[in-house]
Amino acid sequence: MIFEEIENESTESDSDFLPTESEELESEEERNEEEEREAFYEHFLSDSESESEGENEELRNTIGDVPVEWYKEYSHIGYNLTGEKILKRDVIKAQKKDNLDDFLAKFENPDYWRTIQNKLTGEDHVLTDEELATAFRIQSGKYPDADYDPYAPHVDFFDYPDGKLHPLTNKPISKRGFVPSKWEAKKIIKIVKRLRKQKYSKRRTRRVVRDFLLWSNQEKMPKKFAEKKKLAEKRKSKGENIPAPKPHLPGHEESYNPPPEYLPNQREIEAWESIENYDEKPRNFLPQNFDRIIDIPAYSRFLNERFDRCLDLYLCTRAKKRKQKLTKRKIIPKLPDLEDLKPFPTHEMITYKGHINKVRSISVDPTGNWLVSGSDDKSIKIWEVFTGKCFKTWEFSEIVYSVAWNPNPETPIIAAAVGKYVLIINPGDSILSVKQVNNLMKKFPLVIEHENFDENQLEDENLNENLNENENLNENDILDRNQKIKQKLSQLNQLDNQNQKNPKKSSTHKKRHNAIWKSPKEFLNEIRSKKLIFQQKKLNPNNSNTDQLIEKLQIELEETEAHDNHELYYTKEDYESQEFKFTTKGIVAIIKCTNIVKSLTWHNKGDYLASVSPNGGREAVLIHRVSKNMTQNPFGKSKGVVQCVKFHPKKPLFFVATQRHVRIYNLLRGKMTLKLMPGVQWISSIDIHPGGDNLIVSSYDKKLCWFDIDLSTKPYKIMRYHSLAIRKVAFHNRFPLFCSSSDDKTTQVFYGKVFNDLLQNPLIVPVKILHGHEYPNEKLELGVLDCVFHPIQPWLFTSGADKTIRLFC
Amino acid sequence: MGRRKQKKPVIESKYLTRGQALRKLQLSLTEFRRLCILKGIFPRQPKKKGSGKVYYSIKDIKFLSHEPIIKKFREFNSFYKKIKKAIGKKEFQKIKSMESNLPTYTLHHIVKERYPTFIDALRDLDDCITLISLFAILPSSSMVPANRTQNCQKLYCEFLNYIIKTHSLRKVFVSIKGIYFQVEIKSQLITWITPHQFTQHPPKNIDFRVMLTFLELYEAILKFVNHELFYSINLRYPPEFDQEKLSNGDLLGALILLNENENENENENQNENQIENENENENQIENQKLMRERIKTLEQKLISVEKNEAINVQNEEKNQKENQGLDQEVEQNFFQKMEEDEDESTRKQYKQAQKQRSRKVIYGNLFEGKIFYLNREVPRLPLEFVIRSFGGKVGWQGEGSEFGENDEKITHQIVDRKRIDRRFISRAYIQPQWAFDSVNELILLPVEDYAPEVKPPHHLSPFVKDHIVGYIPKRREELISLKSFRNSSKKKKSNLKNQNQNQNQNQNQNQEELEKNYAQELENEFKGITYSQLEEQKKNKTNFQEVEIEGNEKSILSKTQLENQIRNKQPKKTSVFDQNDEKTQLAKAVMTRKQRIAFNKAQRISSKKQNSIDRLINKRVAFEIENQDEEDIKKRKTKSKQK
Repeated sequence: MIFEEIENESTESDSDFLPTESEELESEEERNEEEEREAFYEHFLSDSESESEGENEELRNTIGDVPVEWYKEYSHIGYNLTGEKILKRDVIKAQKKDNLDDFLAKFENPDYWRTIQNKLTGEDHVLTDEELATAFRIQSGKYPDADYDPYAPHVDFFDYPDGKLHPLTNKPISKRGFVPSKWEAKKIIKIVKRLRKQKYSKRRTRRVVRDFLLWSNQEKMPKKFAEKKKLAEKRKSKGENIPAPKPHLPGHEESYNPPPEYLPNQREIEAWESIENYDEKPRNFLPQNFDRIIDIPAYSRFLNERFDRCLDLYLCTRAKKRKQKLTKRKIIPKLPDLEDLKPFPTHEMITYKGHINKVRSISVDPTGNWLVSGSDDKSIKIWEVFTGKCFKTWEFSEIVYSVAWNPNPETPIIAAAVGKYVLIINPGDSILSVKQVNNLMKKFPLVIEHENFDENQLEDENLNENLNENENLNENDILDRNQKIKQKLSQLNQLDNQNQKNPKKSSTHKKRHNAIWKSPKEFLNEIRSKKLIFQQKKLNPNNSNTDQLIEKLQIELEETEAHDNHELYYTKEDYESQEFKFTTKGIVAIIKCTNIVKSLTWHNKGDYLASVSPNGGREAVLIHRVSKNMTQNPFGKSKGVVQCVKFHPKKPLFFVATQRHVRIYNLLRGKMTLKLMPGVQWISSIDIHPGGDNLIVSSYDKKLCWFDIDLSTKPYKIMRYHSLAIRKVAFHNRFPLFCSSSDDKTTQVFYGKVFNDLLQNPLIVPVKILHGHEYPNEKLELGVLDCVFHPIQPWLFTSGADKTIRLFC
Repeated sequence: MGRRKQKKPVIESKYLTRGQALRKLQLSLTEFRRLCILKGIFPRQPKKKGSGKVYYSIKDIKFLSHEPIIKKFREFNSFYKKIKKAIGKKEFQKIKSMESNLPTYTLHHIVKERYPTFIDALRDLDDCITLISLFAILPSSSMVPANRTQNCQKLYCEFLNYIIKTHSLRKVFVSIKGIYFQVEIKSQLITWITPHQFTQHPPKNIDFRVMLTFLELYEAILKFVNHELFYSINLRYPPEFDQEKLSNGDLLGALILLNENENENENENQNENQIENENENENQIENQKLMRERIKTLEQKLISVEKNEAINVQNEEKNQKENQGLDQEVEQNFFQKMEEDEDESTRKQYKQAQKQRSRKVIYGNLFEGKIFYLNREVPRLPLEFVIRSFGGKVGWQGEGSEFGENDEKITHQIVDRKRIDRRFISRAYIQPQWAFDSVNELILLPVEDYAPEVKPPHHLSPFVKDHIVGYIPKRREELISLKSFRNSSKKKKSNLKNQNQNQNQNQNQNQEELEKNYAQELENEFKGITYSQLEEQKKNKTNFQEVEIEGNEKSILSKTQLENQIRNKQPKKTSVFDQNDEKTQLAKAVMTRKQRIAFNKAQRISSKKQNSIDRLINKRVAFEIENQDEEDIKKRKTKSKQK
């Protein structure tokens, strides 16, 4: 190709140099054409002349040099000399032109084959031999003229007599005509150079890449590949290139003949089919069973799955995720050997059965021989620890929320919270002599010690009285009685007022409180009198006078009730239904509080007793002094719902746990010293380490907080391990143990050692989970309600909603 | 006082959105996609999630911008513009002449870049082979040009042939979707799936351009991989194809494998390369000779060791000692030689050869000497592939088979129909599943279970490690017991033989036995069965037959009994900790937050696992009770008939 091009180029360039020759040639051609045209005309003219010499001069058509066809539509064909139309049929007649003639002529006329019609004139013309010859020559593609010699030597048009060359024109030749082109020379040089380098092949063919080893022979590797390798390794090491995860390998369920347990049942099939989007389905196929390989049909989604995989490969984000292997060591903290931490309670020894409802509270006597429990069945029971026998029972009309044994071994009395009353109970002969108690409780001699005040007896008496009264009733009597009642009531009021006033004068805190100390006899009398009033009201409905009076009285009574709301002993219904029970045996004193008392705590020395009634507002916390029969209200304002209180074992400090915080008061100064913030939702109970510097707080939101009071107001450790609310926590007095009891039926025992060295943190190790209690029924999820350690042994008592108390040793 | 430069937010400094990337690279979206596919670039997930955009790492984009193929893309664009113009002007002659200027590109630099080592390439070969095997089957259409499918066929065929030659097939699994194969090449496991042999009807929602781009890359990769593989076993690449067979669909037989030594009569053009190759070949031959010698010495050593273990006869001990002495010398010489050589490559090669030998012993001997005949209705390619790669010979009904159905050498005929008109007593008639299951278990399973009239036993996935999953299907139990039974009986036999041979002092035969033993041990090791487990299994297996007898008389079990029976057979809990353990319960109290989260997670996972296992067991119990009932009814019927 290129060579050809070059040749062409060169010829072109040659022609540039010799322009004259081609011009000459062109002019010659023109001249030939002219000659031919002239010859043709001459011929035609001569032809027409020869015809004009014929006989029917007139009948010759005169239309001129125009095709006959133009006159197809007309009847004439030209005009004669006189100007008349020459009619076609005359001409035809004259020429004797007829189909028959023509046909005859075909056979008769030997020249017929060489006769042609002149299209111009419509006349016949017999071709001559010469004309025939030219026609044949033209047919065979030769020159028409036999004489013409195309290869004849060229004869110049002009003569050059001098033999010199003269240009046709006088124009001087341009410089371009004789100076070779610079640019073309450059181009040629370029081509020549490329030719020498063999850059041109005959035809450009596509390079076929030969197969080569990409990895094995590194020596032959081109340099750029080595660089690529480096780059790739760099990217890989930097984590920029994350290889795609391998596709999951199929499980048994994908088999064509899987074990039957891998096949879906009807429900699973429906569930699978209900999801339309394949991405959301748990599996992208439905396990099926076929008996033979030949039965397997085509899997229609094969291409789809491949396509999805392709999409995943280039559209999904990738990130390296460190998959931590969950090892035991990582998850589970290592505990010290539990054998070293013994003794602690490990298994259940004795179950104390007897209560018929959940046991709210328990307490152990300081010698460790007796256990007292208060229950929802409105009774208090004393148990012998070692035998599990119930020693004594008191029954009341109210739920016993809390019981507490005096921690002082010299004065073993029990405080119990029954409804709104705090009772001081002498547990009995065998435990405490009457004298001792009398010494302790100076004001109240044990009057009713030997009287048997049964409930029935009481009621009988009342009934008798009532009956008597009914019989003797006159109008006057009634009036008298009413007056008497009035007097009594006024007395009562006075007494109350005194009580209200006295503490104001006597108490150092100058705080009003409404707790009243009474002996059981007083209490009973009171009850009787009140009952009387109501019964009278009931018995005399018709008497108008008395009615009015009684109404007034009642109003008065109600007003007093309304005025001093807290002083209501019992509701009217109690009187009416006569279900009121009260046993006084062994009860030493009754402290009447304004609200339901829910928890009690003794001071370590056994003289002070603190009671908590959470709804009591400003009178929520009361401190009673047994030896003086006095009650104090330490707080003027309520700081929230008080959950529980504790005395510091050594210092005059008082711990008050409200819903969210624990406040520490100095009793001597009467000021708050510290406010602990456990950060829990609802505190359930607290206990103080016998050393006094550490505190545990349990909450209904399953948390247990250990406080080091010297360290911080925030917990040193928060632990969450119970699955339900924690009800109670307790420290052991002697051993480094503490426990928490929870609604999840378990009690967890911890080893909690506090070191004397201030720098060393307390060591807390869970040592045992005690099971045993059960839910009373399925609906009521109440587990272990109270837990108390034995004062001497490493034993633990727990009481539960399943009506039992259990001892763990 | 220059202003402090404000820091860019992390997303902007590290990532580019797709739009930004396109602008930066000046590519169209389709070109960008192509480039991403070829270069293996994927979007990233910023830690702080952006506004639902697709993000690419800036480094990735920079990396892309140096890619020479981008230039080619641009050349393509300009070229197509020219063509378009010419078409508009109807200059068809010009178009014809331009066709030769069509820009072309190769992908080998990309392959090299993505897989710097051969192992890397092998590791990523799963998708590659799956797609290529799919396209090898796909009918050519306007979307899939015929030459692509042909190329795929060839590449796939080459790959399969390599596997047959090296006996590197490991697992086969017939699933609903297709047939899974797993091969092991250079200790890399490659798994792929081929569809069942039906014509695929491409769904409309598939974008074939994406698939074809992937295919383009995969073709390039597999070509290089095949070349490398063929080179490693001293075969010439590219091999030649028998076009007739290829068009007949005989993929495996179409390949004409030639050793590199047979190059001599080839084209003169390749002379230079040939000379080099030949040099290499000579080297390799020499190496091989060396290796053979060394292997021989090793064999001797092995024999002596075995002897020590097995024989108690005093007379022979002496001989052994002598042998030992000799062997020690040989060994010393060997190591000295090694030290002298200090030629790591030869050492490597030696190791490789050793490996290959053991592989051949394990995997190539399974069907050794067995001659299979495939019926017309049986899928030929997978079966032929499987049988041949485990050392068997295959013939089939139809063209190109080496032998016909009447050949008496045939030991197994694979059939997938219930009734067979003409039976030969000399051969076993089996269903195709037999081959697959035997391969997976590496023993020849009893033929009766797979007879054409019977429903074959359940086909289990060989990829599931049942002990780890925690649930063992019934079939697996059977297989395990069967296998250990076989192994123990074989060992006994071999021991007996050993003794005889020792008496005869016939070393050659002994050698074979030893090899078998060695293979078995290797096999066991491969399966992860320790010696102690084997012992246990042996004990179980001695009772195997007794159990079977008992099984026949098995009385009907209640549901709970059955469940307990099944549960007892399941592997014990494999989780890291027992959640009901008291210590863990105690420790829960002192856990840190992190630990508690991890603990809960572990608990959740294990409970989920347990749930799925329970579901399976319940289903199985229900099913087995149903079966029992049916059997019971049958028995009663037969009894009543007898009466």
